[in-house]
Amino acid sequence: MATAKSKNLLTTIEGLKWDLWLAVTIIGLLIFGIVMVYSAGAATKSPGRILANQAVWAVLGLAAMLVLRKVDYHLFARPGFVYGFLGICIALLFIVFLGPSLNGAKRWIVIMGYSAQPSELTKIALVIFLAWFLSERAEEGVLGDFWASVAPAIVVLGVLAALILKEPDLGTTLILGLVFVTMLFVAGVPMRHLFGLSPFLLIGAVIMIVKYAWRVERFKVFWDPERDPQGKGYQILQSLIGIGSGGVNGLGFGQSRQKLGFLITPQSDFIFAVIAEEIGLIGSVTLIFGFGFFLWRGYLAGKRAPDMLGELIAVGLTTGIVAQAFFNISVAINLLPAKGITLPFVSAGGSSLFVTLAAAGILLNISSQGIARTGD
Amino acid sequence: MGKKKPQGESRNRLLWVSLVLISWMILIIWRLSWLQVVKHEYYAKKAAGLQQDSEMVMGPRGSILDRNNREMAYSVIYDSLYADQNLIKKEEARTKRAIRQTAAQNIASLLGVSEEQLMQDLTGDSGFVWIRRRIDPGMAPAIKKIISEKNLSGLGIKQESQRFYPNDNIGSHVIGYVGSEDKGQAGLELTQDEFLKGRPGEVHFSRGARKTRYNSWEIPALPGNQIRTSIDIGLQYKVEVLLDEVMKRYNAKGAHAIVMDPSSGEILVMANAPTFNPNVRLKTGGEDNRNNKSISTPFDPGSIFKIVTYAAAIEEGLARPDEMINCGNGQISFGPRIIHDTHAYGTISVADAFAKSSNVGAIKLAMRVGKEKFHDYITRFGFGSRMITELPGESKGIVRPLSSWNYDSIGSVAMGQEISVTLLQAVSSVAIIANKGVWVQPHLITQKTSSDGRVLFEARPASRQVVSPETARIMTSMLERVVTTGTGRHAIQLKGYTAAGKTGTPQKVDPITKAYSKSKYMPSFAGFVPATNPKFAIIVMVDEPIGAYYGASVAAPVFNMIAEAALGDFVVPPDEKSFREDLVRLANKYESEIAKEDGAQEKLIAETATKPAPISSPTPQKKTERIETGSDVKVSANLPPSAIPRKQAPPQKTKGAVIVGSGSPDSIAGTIEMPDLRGRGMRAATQFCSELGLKPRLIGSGIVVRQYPAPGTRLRPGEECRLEFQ
Repeated sequence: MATAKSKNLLTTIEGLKWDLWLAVTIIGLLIFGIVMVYSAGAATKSPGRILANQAVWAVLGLAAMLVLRKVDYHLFARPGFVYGFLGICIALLFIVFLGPSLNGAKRWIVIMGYSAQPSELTKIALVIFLAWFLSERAEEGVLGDFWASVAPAIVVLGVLAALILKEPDLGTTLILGLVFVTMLFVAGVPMRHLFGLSPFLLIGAVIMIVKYAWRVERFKVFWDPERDPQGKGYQILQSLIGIGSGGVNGLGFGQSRQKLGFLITPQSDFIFAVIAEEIGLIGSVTLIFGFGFFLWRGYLAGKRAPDMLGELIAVGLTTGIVAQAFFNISVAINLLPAKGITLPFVSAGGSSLFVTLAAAGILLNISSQGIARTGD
Repeated sequence: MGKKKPQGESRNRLLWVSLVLISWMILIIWRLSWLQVVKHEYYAKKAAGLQQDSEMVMGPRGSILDRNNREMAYSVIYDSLYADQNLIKKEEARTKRAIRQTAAQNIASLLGVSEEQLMQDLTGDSGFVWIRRRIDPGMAPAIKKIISEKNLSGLGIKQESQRFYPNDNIGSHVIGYVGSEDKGQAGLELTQDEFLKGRPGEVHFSRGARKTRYNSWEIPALPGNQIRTSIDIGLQYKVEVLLDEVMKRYNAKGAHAIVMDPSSGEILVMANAPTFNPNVRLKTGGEDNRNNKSISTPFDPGSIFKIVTYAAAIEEGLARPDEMINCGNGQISFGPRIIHDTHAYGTISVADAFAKSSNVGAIKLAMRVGKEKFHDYITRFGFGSRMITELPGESKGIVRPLSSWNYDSIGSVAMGQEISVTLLQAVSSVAIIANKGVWVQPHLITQKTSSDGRVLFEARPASRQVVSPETARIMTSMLERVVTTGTGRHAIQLKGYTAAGKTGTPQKVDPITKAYSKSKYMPSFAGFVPATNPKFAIIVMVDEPIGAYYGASVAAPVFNMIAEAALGDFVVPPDEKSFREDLVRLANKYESEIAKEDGAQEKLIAETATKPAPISSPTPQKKTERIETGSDVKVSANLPPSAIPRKQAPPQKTKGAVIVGSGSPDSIAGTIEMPDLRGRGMRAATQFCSELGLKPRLIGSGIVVRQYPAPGTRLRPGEECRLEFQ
């Protein structure tokens, strides 16, 4: 840590080996995503604009990924950066409330026609904060002390989650909670603290869900989408029809029918329905295995990481991306009630793709350093 | 680096997290497999219901044409706009209101109604309502587009077929009519229904949520087949006018006529008065008017049946026309029954007895033949069996079997009593005589073609020899005598043509007493023209005229006028010897006078010009030429070239149209000036065109609103003109 701290903030590490498996998985998912966004958006009013938007964000995201791959992740592990980053996110989350409202939610900041969701950035901020904070506490040997380790972390999570819930964006909040619990768990926080936490989180979740009538409705529709086929059950039912009619082999690339106005904005949150309809069980399971492979390479990078900081960042980022992917797919196949979150790497949606690729850049850096260390 | 990594427990913890996420992944794959494999069929069906749709397209019913391919019936497919109010009602209140408002705002102007009116139509409670039948064809696609773009559920466009009878009443008994959904209900429309009706097709297509269509495939609709009949709509019209006149003149219950070609069996005219308009059939008279009585209602034929009696006796060699026969001073007795003639005749020739329609003469000849043979002849002439296969509701007539004949039946039947025949059977018996003793089955349909022009059927009527050609020849000369010296001599006056025929004045059978009425008659006249080379067999019958009742005075004049019209329309060459001689003489006289004038003129030209003027060589003449003067049609045809005047009289005005003879040196030679038909009715316009020799193409119904070519344009005879009615 001492050596890392002495380095200039802009110093990059030269001569790092690529984690080819991870890089290929990321690029594969990205290309697959762009192609599917093109197909799914083809029947919308402005298919060209959707594709161009996705391509621009992909290029920007790739640039960020290449830069961050070369930036030593230890550079993030200093209080100034961590709290600065958190502060910027919190500020942006406040600014969101001045921005436009879409479908009754305020999640976006619009700059020059491009909209970005600060909640996406918050995911990285939380991961870096927790990794730094927990590895510092571990070094101090106070990880087992609830008030020294768990309680401050909960405060930070609470502030971020409260702001994102207010948007409202329950999906991202849940992903943040999931990442939080995973990182605390992997960091080695005693189980009694985590169990002590669970009823607390459970009650919070129940209150959140019950507080808003539309969420209760969502649950009802979740149990039986066909009870309101033209209303609240519409989108999920259309998604199931698309997936089911795709069958084992799918209708063929570009042949989705549900994208022709039956699914609303098929290129974004419900892109998985179009994928399953067009390339069938074979294609969609391949995609799921793609995320599974990403999970393995991400966790492997964490395992090989030179220190706890690297391990926790790798586990946090990987968990965030894969959990979000599984969450999104689970919604499309009606395993979980409908929530507005994107399929990482794949869904159309600029800031999400950019942040995901940026996270992938950090992950690649950790992985490369691990390879350098273990000589693998 | 040197950072201590969590050991042991942390490794296990990462494994635990991995296991949780992998379990989630397996759960997803399990659920996905269930959806895509087990429930695939269920969702595929749901998807098809959502994404696939089909629509019916109608094939128009085939046309019925007359012998000159003029349309007597045709169909047009229309789009009609409907609203299914039940479907609208099912929507949520907000959508319901939105649908109605959008529809009213966007469609009202296209239909030319007010938005309030349309709103009202859409708000009703009656389920399925037509908002507008028969939308302007140009407007339908625009309305369809609005319905699909604005997602107006409950509104839709449906195809409907509409049958048109462009000639209204003319030929309506033969054509018949259709009921709802273009289903034939009478006449040819009924018997040929299967053949005429169009086969509906289907358009299947996939659609997006906003009803945008793609991937459509079609089972094309097939238009119905077309039927060409032997009817001549022009002549049919003239006959119908005559029947209407005679019916009104005598306050008769009805008047009926048939014209057929004896050699081919083709029926040219089948007309009944009163008649009906198939376009508005429910408004024109009762069911009785729609009854084709010339085949459905048999009558006791009376004296015209004597043709059969005499033909039987002559064929059997039991009588000759010049043989003398005792007509018993107008009386003959069968036991207690005494039959009288109208006039008492003594001993006269068989031909005279026929010409004067002596009952006694006919009965004596029948008795010579004997009832078995006589009954046999009656059957061979076709009485007692159906004549035509193409029309519904034909009666066989009533020919009682020999076993139920009374002692005096042979006498009754010999003069056309105790037997009932249809008008068609009666005219057919005359046609047999006209056609050298050969019966050719009367028929109406000459050709059936599919919509793509393939010939599917061509008439090949059955025929059989009924009497020998010699008997037919003898009967013809006897029938001619009826016209020249007998009962028909006053009424039948055809200039230039010979005629043959027989009067009949049967008493009607009183429906209550079953006895012959003393005051109700059905005067008739049956015959053929020209007698030497018969082209038309014609029968006319007037039902219960008041004031006069003899066949000779009521029916024969109508026969005469029908014959005149038919001979003129079909440009039949005159066969009367004296008339031809007169014509030739007249022509020769003109020839010499014109030659004289020409000579004088040539001399004049030669004097004024340096070069001698070219001597006009006789223009090649067509052998047949029509010269129209007023409404009277006269024909000169098959004359030697010298008989035709070389120069014509100045062009004659004919109801606003000018006919210029082909002999004129003018460039407009032989052309017709298109008259202004705008504002005229359908009948008048059709009639007009047929008189001028133009083929009218009729579009719509009502009065003429547009015509092509414009008035004053020059046309050649036989050219087509387009008349749009409204």
